[in-house]
Formats: sequence, structure tokens, C-alpha cells
Amino acid sequence: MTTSTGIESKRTALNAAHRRAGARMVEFGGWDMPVEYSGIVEEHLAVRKRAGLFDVSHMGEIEVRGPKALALLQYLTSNDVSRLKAFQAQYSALMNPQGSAVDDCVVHRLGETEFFLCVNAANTDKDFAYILEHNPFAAGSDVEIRNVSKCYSQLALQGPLAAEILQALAETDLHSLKYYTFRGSVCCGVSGWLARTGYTGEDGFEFYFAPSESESVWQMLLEKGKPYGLLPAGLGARNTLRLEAAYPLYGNELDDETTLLEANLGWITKWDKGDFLGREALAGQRESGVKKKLVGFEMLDRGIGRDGYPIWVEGKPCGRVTSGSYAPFLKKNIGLAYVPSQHAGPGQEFEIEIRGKRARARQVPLPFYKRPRA
Amino acid sequence: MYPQEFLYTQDHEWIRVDGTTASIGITEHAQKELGDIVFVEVPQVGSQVTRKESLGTVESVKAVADVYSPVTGEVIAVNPKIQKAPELVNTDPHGEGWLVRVRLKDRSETESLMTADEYEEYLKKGSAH
Repeated sequence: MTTSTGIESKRTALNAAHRRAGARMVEFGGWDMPVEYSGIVEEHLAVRKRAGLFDVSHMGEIEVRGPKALALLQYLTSNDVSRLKAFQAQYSALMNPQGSAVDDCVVHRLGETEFFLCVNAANTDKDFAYILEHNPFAAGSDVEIRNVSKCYSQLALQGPLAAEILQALAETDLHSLKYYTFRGSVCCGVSGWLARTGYTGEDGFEFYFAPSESESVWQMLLEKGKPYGLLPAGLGARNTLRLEAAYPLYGNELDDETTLLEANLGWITKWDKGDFLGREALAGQRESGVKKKLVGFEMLDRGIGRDGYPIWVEGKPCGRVTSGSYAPFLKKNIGLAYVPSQHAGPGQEFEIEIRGKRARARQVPLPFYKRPRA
Repeated sequence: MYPQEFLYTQDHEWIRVDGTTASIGITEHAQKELGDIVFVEVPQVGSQVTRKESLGTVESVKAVADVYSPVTGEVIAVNPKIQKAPELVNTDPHGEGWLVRVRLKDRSETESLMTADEYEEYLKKGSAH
């Protein structure tokens, strides 16, 4: 298996297990990953109604520790890291001076001076190099930065029955593990970091642990979950699930030229925490207003406005779809797109050019899907 | 797996010729590659289709694929169930999941198509990827 660049794709510790399970494999971010097992729709619905298990070991982990760890992360990321207590996590962005994201990430605080970041697979090396390069402190004594991605497998157990399935296998009371918190836990007999996080819009958990234990943890979770209707789920369902929940995907909604404000990520932009990379650019944009804005749409005409398709308003091309798909739970054709701010707002309509023909779409409030609160 | 009485294209369409008319669909291999099919676009009855040109599209959750017409002719019927139940292309691609029926313009166009055995051989060669 090689990528289009001719470089061999990386494999997670579960590669053979996925192949044995009959998964269809694709190259994603330099990794050979399962895109689907039984089918995207079935896997998607399993996660919404019961539970699904994802191998997300391709995700990267970067450790930042030392007396200046907090200061470094405050400077490089947009969210306020000082608000995190030990064993809390927060969604954030690694910033460039233009106010755009080098990557989006989840910052986990292990203690006063210890953190780890979960970052996108394709960006791991770039992020690591970027953090080293933009570290104003003394490397080693003030702050130690390590790419520890190879030390971890990561599994995501997601869905309304995830807690029930996991509780029988975890030596942690999951009731006390709140959303966006984590702790050291033994699951399936293996110790690791257990976080109540995810990328599906459902309740769920992400477990970081030693790759050598991957097959046994994967199998135990699948077996325990089977009577509950848990299915192994691939990147195909992961994408449609995150799209229904309107979570951005780096490379689609986010890149190093799109600012956080344009991407509706004002909520992870903390103005009062002190200076950080990109703050000035963002403050300027907050003052002058954004020129383009990320919006959600539903197709009115038949067809699916897919990634990259042009958007037309009043007879002029003026934007692009960043992610578009059939939404298996909502049973609608939905998508995210950037449009000029004056044309952004729920209820406004535009056209999407689908293979030479224009089809109407209407903007709708985000997210498309919000899980019912228990 | 692949009906003997059908003919097949390299783009994974099948055609079942019946006198001067023929039914067209996509193959089991094609539906499997695409995954869950959620949308099918076919031409209206009365429109012309041309050999090796797109006659419509089949969309799955993850991809959209052109369906290339194996023959030139006029569309005389479209599968009435396919709009409401595009998943028929997944569950029964060689039967209930047919797409259109055409009146052939030139029957000799079918001579270059593959038989079931040839198509299976063709798939075997291609599966090295």
C-alpha cells in the first residue's frame, strides 16, 4: 500500500484486525485506515442509536511538560489553558500569526506543568515541528516537547450505550467521568488515559494506551458490545457523524488561511487570557468583521453538494462547499460551506454547482444534529 | 455471481439485450466499490444516450460515479422504484436495481462488450490494486 506520493502508508497496530474483519481500507493522512466494515450508513446509525468502535490510532499525541509548559501553550493555542484543572481537556487550535489554525486539537492537562495534545494524523509532524520552532523558552529546562504518537493506540467508543458497555470493562466509575474530563484508568486489563471525548456528536470515550495491547482491547470491546448492537466503525461513518454534528475537519473547514472567526470558532478564542499567536490578527478581524463565514446548508433540489463544489449567489460564483454528504441519521443531503458574510444566515438560499448543473440549497442553523440530553 | 446472459463493460455496467431493447445497470462489483447508494440520477424517458457517454450518476455516501452507457439508443423506461429506493442497486444490482431500458440503435455495438466469464477474468486482473 502506497500513498499517491509513493511513500508507504503507516499502519496502526490494528491494521491486520481490520483486514481480517473485511474492512475496506483507504489511505487517509498518510495512514492505511478502515473506511467501512459493514457499510457507512449501518455504522453511522449504530453510533447514533447504540454504539460504535473506531480505531483512531492514527491521531497524534504531543507531550508538553516543564515549568513553562502552560505559558507555551497559552502562547501557541487560542483557548485558555489556565482554565483547565488537572484531568480536564479542552478543544483548541494551534495558531499561526494570521489568526488561522495550524491544526485543531484537544489539550489535556495532566498536572500543574504537564499536558498532552491530541492532534490530527496528517498534521502530527507539522505540529510538532511548529511547536519546537515557535517555542520562545529554553528547550529541555523550561519546557520539554515530545512527539509521543508512537507510544499510543487510540480507540473511540461512541454512542448512547458506550458508557454501559465500557463500565463492565473499566476500573473507573464512569458516572463521575464528566464530558471533556479524563483520567488514568484500567480498561480491558490495560492501563491508559480514558477521556470522555469524541468526534461523533454522541456520548462516548476515547482510550489512549500502549499499542502492543491493541488487539486484545479491540476484541474485548467488540465482544462486550456485541449484545448491545455495537459495530466496528470506519472513517466513513466518522466523517458523516462529525458532519451531522457540524464539527470542523482540518483540511476541509480549517486550514492555515482560514481564521478562527470565519470558521465559527470564536468560542475557542479567549481574548482575555493574554497574548497568543494570531490574537492581533483576530482582534483586527473582530473589529472590521469577517468577509466569509462558515455556514450549514440542506439541499432543496435533488443531489449532494460535495466537497469542493462551487457555490453561486445571484448568478455569481462566490464560495465552495467544504464538506457535503448524505446524512444517514437525518436522511437529508447536508453540507458546510464558506460564503461571503453578507449572504450568510439561516434561511438564505444559494445554488451549488453539481457537475455542471446548479441545484438550490438553503442555509440552516448549526449543528444539523444535536443529541437528545438524557 | 454474474449472469451469463448479460454483457459487461470495463466501467462495470451490465446490459441485458432482449431483441431490439436492452436493460442497463451497474454490476455487483461496482455497487460494492461504491458502498451505500443514496441517490440515483437517470435520464428521462425519450432522451437519447450514447455509447461510452454518461447516462446518469449513482451516488453513495462517500462517492459519486458516472454510469456510462454501453450502447447508443433511446431511453424507453426508467426503473420506477429506484428514486425512492436507491438501495436496490446495492441489494440487487443485477435485478431489481436496474436503471434504464433503451431501444438499441445499432445492435453491433454490443459485440465489443465482455461476456460474464470475460468480465470475471477482467475483475481478477484488476483486483491486484
